[in-house]
Parts: sequence; C-alpha cells; structure tokens
Amino acid sequence: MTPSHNPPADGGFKYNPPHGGPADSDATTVIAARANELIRGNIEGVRRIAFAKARTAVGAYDFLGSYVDDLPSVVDLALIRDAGVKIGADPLGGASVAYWGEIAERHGLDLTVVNPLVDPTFRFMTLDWDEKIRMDCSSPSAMASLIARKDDYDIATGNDADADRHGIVTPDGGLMNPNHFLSVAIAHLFGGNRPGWPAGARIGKTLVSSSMIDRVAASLDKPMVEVPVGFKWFVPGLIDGSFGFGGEESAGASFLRMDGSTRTTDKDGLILCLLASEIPAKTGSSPSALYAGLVAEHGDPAYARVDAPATREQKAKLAALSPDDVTATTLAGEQITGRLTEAPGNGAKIGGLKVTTESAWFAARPSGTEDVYKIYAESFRGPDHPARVQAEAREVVSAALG
Amino acid sequence: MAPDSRAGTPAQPSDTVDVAHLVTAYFDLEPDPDNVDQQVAFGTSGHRGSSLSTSFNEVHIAATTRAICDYRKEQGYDGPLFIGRDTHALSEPARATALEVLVANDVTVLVDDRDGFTPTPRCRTPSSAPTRASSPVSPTASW
Repeated sequence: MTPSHNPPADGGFKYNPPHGGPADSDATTVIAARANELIRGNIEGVRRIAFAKARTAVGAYDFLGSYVDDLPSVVDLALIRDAGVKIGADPLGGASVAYWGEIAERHGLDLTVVNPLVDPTFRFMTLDWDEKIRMDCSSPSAMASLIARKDDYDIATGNDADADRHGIVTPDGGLMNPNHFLSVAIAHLFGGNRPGWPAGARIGKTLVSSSMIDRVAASLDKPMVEVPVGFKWFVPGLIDGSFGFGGEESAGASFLRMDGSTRTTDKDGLILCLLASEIPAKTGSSPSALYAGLVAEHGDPAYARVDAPATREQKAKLAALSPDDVTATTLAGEQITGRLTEAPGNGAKIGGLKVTTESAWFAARPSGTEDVYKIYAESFRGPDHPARVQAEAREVVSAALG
Repeated sequence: MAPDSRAGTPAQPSDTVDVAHLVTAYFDLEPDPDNVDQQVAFGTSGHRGSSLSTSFNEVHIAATTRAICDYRKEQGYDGPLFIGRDTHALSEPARATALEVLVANDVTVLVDDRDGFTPTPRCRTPSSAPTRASSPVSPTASW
C-alpha cells in the first residue's frame, strides 16, 4: 500500500505476482476490468470478514530483520564501516525510517537518520517545484533541507515514501542527477568491484536513460541491454542473473548480490544509497567527483525532457509507429543512425519512437494521463543542443504521424 | 519557476492535509462507476488516487483486492501473499480493507511482525522469501 512519492492526500495499491517484480499488463488489465465490474455491481459478492477477525488470521513475517541481515550479501558494508564513511540518511518521513536505524545498529555504520519523524501530513518537507508536498528524492526542491546539510556528511541520501527510489547528495556536488549516479554506479559495479558476478552479466538500462551509460559500457567492454520504460523489463534478467544491474533514469535501480544471485526484482532505494557509500569507501572519491571523471573521459551529455501537445488519436498513432514511418535522414545537424520502435535489448515495443545520431538521441512517448507526448533528448554537443534536438524531434514526429 | 515560488521552502500549516478528514472520506465517499476519474486504473504501479477525489476509497480497494484474489486463483497462485504499507495516511485503512477481503477469500497473508512500515523492496525479494516445498508456485506474491 503506497502511492510512492506522491502527496500526502494520495493512496496507492500495487500488486507484484510471484516473480516479485511489477505486474505486467496482462495481469493489471484483467485486475482493473474485474475491479470496475465489481464496483458497478456495488461490490456485491465481495466476501469480507470483520477487521478484528482478519487481523488475528494473518501470519507474521520479519520483514525488517530478514532484509537488514542480508545486506552484506549485496553491498560491502564492512568496507564502508572500516573506511568510516559518515552517512546521513533521510527517509523523508517514509517507510524506510526504521530500516536505516537498524542498518546502522546491526552493521556498525556511522549513519545518522537525519529526520526520524513520521507524520502523515509530512509537514517537515520542503515544497516541491509546484509548491506541493511530494516525497521525491530526485527533486532538488523536495530535497532542499538535506542538500543544505550536505557538508555534515560524506554521503547524504534520501528515499521516497516507499523507498524504492534513491537520491544521492555529496558535499562537492549536491544532489546528483539520477542519470549521473546511475553512470557512476554502473562504472563501479562493472569496473572490477563485483568479481563474483557472472562474466557475461549485462548492464540493463531503459532507453530514455543517459547514453553516458552506453559509453561507460563500451569502455569497460561490458554488454549493455536497452529495454522500454518500466522496471518490469528487468525482472527476467535479475531472476536468472543475466543482468547484473537494472536502472531507470527516474532514480530506481537494483542489482545482484555479490555472488551473482538475485537480491530483488523491483527497485531498491536502500541498496543504491548504501552503494553510494561503498563507492567512496573503495575509491576515496565521491560519486560526483567520479562522474566528473567520466565526463572528462567520455564527454558532457546534456539531458532534457519537454511535453508537446497531442490528441488522443495522435497519441495512439505514436504508440503504434513503425521505423518506416520515419522519413527524416538527419537530426539537429547529424545523420540519423537509428530509428527504433522496439527496444534493441529485448524486442519489446517502445510504445513510441527513439531516433539516434552519433552524439544525440530523442525519444517520444505518449503520456498515459494527459493530452501530451513527452520528448526526452540528450546530446554530447553542448548544453544548448538538446533544445534543437527536441525542436526537430517535433517535426520528425509530426511527419511520421502524417 | 516563478521568482516568488515557495519551491524548496519549508511547508506551512496551510500546505498540510486534514488527515482525519482524509480517512473519513476513504470510508464515506462512493465512486460513480460511470465517471472514468473514479474508476480503478490499475497499471504497472498499481492503482493511485485520493479519497478526497473519490478515486481511492474503501470500495476501490475491496473490489481490487477481490479482483487480485480471482487473478491468483486463475493463475494457480496459492502461496502466501506479503502485504506492507508505507507512511501515507491512506495506506493503513486500505491495508485493513485488503486484509478483510483477503482473509475472507482464504488467502494466506503475511504482515510485518512489528506492525510497522515496510519499504517496497522489502516486499519484492523472491529468493529470500520463505518457501513451501509443496506449493507448485513460488509462494512470493506480494504488494
């Protein structure tokens, strides 16, 4: 039961089938249709018993202990402890609150729970970009109070209300852009620090994540797999160990245990936060300093996302495009090298379009809730180039939609 | 961002929700089945809404829970179901509704032994969950 980082008045209800990862659309479509049918029938026939009786019929499971005790199998906590990394962990009033204290206690870490308060109004938050309270650990506005204390810790971290996402704050870089931390995490994990992983373990990324990851993968000579947006695409690879890491640009990721076995099949914000401390413990450098090193080696990508108006019909057409619908040959001054409507990693439909050139790309995807489509763009040709890519992306999409 | 934006500044009392009102609305308001904004929209991230806009209320959770029971039956999932909640005000009443339906429909449910809050990844760990050898399906369904 969680609406993730969303405002205090919101509720959310998720179901993960036995593989442990997010439910696929074949499950969610059936469940939604059946639920709405039951509502139409005034939920007659939905068997229920009184809460007092239900409460005594359930079993108890030690969620916290089994999670916290297993952590050394996935992150090198001894290294973090011995290096004396000073950590500040901010649960943003969410479900990780008791976990951080136990992690510090059981594993002897120099970790302070920055704000241990739980209050369903979340009145201790700083307001998000639109002046709403939102427990978004990747938002500089929502994370402002932790960012202000960045110099108090070697690594400061935040989680959203259900702790599946991570936010990393360093003294030298402030709140890291999620794409930047993903790149550093991948460079660390695949750069010799997980000798127990299978030699062929692959890097999983969504196709709207930074192409810095492509360049890191190429320089390490590690296989990388691009999947559509959504963590569910990483589930099979995390179960069979063929993916070492799966990550989304929205600051959600997970990775294998040290020995190459499965840790989780959904995003885990806590292990990513702990990894942010393993990195300086091992290298002596902060994750943001290491990202500056990646920029020096591979270039400095600029990333942007904007919305463009689209009718319901245009959105449906965009979701069903084929590569042949794209007639353009150049994009923002470069030859088009790829026109994708299926993810290269697994052949799954993108539900939109991705166009690549040597140093830039854009992806266009219809919004599920609003009459817009989203244009993600990235370029290694300077901070102003993504805007040009996005402007030309509109033309490419308009032409393709006819 | 407007120069006078309050983004990044501490929340004020006027920004906070009336929690008691929110929970009462959860039990009190009933969705109109013909209003698409009040229907269950169950995607990969599940169903989201608010009791105040009649998109996340007792009726939605009871119906969705029953639909999950039916889906489990169709798929032959008969292992235990792990349920957790975060610190949002509506997570606790919604969990109570779900338990009432799950137990009545003979699903084995496992809840946090401290009755505390549970991060999502803690509900999503297939290999470390307890297993039951006789079960034909890995008994790790969870929320």
